[in-house]
Amino acid sequence: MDNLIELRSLRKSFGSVTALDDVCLTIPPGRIVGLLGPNGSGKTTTLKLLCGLLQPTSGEVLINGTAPSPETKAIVSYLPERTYLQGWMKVKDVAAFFEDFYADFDLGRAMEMFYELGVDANRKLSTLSKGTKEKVQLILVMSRRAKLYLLDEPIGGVDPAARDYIIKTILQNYSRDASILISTHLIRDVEDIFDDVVFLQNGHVLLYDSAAAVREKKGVSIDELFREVFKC
Amino acid sequence: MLGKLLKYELGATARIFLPLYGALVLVSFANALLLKLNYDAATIVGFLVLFGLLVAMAVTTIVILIQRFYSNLLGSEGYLMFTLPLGVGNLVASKLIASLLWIFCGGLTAGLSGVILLSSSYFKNAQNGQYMDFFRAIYGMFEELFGVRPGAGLIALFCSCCVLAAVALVLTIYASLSVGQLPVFNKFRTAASFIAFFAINALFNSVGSPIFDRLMFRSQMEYGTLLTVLWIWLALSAVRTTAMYLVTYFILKRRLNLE
Repeated sequence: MDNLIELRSLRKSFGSVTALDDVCLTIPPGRIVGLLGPNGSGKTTTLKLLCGLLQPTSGEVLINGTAPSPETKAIVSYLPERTYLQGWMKVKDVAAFFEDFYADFDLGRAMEMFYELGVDANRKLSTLSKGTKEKVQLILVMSRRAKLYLLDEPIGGVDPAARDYIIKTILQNYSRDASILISTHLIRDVEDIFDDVVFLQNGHVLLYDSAAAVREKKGVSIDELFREVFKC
Repeated sequence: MLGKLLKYELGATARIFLPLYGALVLVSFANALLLKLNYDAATIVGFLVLFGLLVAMAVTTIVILIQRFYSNLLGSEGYLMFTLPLGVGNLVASKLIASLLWIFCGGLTAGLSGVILLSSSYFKNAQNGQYMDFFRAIYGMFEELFGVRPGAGLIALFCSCCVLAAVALVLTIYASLSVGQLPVFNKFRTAASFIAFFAINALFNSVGSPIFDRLMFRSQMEYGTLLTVLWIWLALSAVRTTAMYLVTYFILKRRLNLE
């Protein structure tokens, strides 16, 4: 299989608003891709289409050659930008939940990371701070041996000290034949890990190239280029 | 996968229902004791508490049924539930089975509460210790009306009607909530769900009511007519169950619009 992700003439509209328009994109396995763009550019919509939470208005979404289905969901690990865990459950209960439903979930690794980040596995989720809940979700998502990770603003709500640990966690946990698609505003903190970058603007792909090539051609960092391109 | 979903669904709901059932049984025993001791004032208070608990149980069953579907599937938690490697049918089935189970257990607990009260010496004395007379009386009334005793077949048919009507009602609620989350209703999701629920009910009533009216009120009620009424009720419930399941399934699969 050549491409892990293939978006063909993808279009998604919500009523009269077009969120994505004629997006064509192919991402091979083994790449860390930064999905970058200002608010409303279509980043979250792209990720939701890839994990099957939304259906395309037209065009095609293919993961490993097939449209989103229970089979693709088994190899896609998705971190949304919101808390999606049930408050009444304990941290260890949600870890057991992940182990029950995802064959590729590594419970031992998750428990180890909870310990390292100081998250008490016996605490109820409703008693945790927003930042800690985000850490729990990221640990759960990264404890899967998935083929594709879709991370929507993975470091948005956590403190800078935890950010470094989380980025290290992401890098340590994914296998080399998996790809990671990271949508973020905090480019400076993560740009060093990107193999490729995609700039989205108003639902269109503005740029898709390797991070090294972008830096070489433009002579600036990805963060600087982003500020230049999307200057208000 | 359905078994695993049910395990978590029942876990999430049992922590609410089981204490409620426990309280109902305890209060029933307390009332039985008060009846035995002939404390009239305390008995009135006891019965008020019992009645309150029964109402609370009924309301909680409906509220939890709605809330589990709305927040676990259509709210933030839906981001996890709909990215699990399983089909939409499994998600709907797990909610439906859990809801039906709690409706059944609620009815059973209410029945148990009744048996506890009837078992108290007060009622035993009043009815010469034969509270089973209640069921005999119903049998007798039925025989008087239709000229035959209700057999196992009729009871099975009646029970099937009740179960299928409950399934149809729960699925109508799910379909209404699913309609309410469609993008076109984004600004008034709750209102759209309520309107959808009443519109669906009105639609099915407009089909069923004229048939039942003609059969039940415009002619002499006979055993054969009763059977016809039950079979039509069963058929209509089956149609409604199928239609509501398909609406819910299609919307959640093709038109999901999480908050």
